[in-house]
Amino acid sequence: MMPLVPFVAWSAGGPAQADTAALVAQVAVGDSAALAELYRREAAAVYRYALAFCGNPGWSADATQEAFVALATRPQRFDATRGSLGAYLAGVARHALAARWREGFAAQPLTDDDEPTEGDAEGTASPETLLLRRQSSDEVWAALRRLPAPFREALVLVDLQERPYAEAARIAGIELNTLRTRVHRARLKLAALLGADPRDPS
Amino acid sequence: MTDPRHDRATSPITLAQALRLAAAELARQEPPPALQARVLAAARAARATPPPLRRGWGRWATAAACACVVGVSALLMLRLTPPGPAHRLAAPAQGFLALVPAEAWPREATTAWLVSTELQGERLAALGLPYDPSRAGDRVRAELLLHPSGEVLAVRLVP
Repeated sequence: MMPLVPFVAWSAGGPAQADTAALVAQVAVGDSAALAELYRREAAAVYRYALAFCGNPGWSADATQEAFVALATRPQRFDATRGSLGAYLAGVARHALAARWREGFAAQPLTDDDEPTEGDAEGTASPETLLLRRQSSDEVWAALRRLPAPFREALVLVDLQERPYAEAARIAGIELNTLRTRVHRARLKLAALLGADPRDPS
Repeated sequence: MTDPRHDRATSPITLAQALRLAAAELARQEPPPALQARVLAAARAARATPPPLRRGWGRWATAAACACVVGVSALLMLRLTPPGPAHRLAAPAQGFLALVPAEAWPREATTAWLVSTELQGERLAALGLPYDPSRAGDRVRAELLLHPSGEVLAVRLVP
């Protein structure tokens, strides 16, 4: 029989991760205050990811709710050793949005669109340095919404929310290299939509 | 979403600057104020409702329950001493009640956290602990032994 561990030991993630894990443990035993605290910390990022991804505030709120209800009812599915709570919640929200896509509520399917298309510039090393005419925020968002969903998601996670690549790949459920490719191609497509010439990086 | 400062300017910007513009816009978005109350209410309702059995599982559950009853009855009739509560109490000296089987215990002595908390009386029943139904709403001080994955390994009531 293994001896019971009689003391607290902060593990690799440090006190912040331990604090989150402790709150999740309290959620597991039905503590609503702990769930409220985790909501206060994490909900905005989950909602923003969903909103930027799908563009629908109602769906984003629903997806955020599903993520936290999943945490409250099946907290054992969150494994702190595999990633942050924010990434886990965003992943659950993504599943909720994907279900809506599958049910046909969205015009744009959540499928891969990694095939090169005319206008893509594979050789461009740094598309983020491409010069565009001065854009309003509305114009940038309109162009973002015209991107295929997988590309838009990659840009939202990496460029708009500034998540680490590994975390973004985990949320999107894809390999790290696939995410890198999508980010690169998404930047090129966005630049093209905003009027830059990808063959002439400045 | 329009930023008039950028509308007035005509000089070009880089894609990185355009993305920063969108990121700043996104950072200003907040969940609806009523969403938190909605989430907490939905979580309470979901916890109170047992998950529905999938079609066909009801018969299996009934069969499994019957098999358990038969097995326990046979054990009693044969006057066999059931195996001790091997996973029930890993270390009686510390007064912890294990909530997971012994094989699920961490192998390293540095992979568990001790978390002090308060549990509602009615949660004790959910954890398999005795409690007084007339004091179900009372809060009880407890310590949880917590795996870094978030799994609760054991619980100890604190007087």
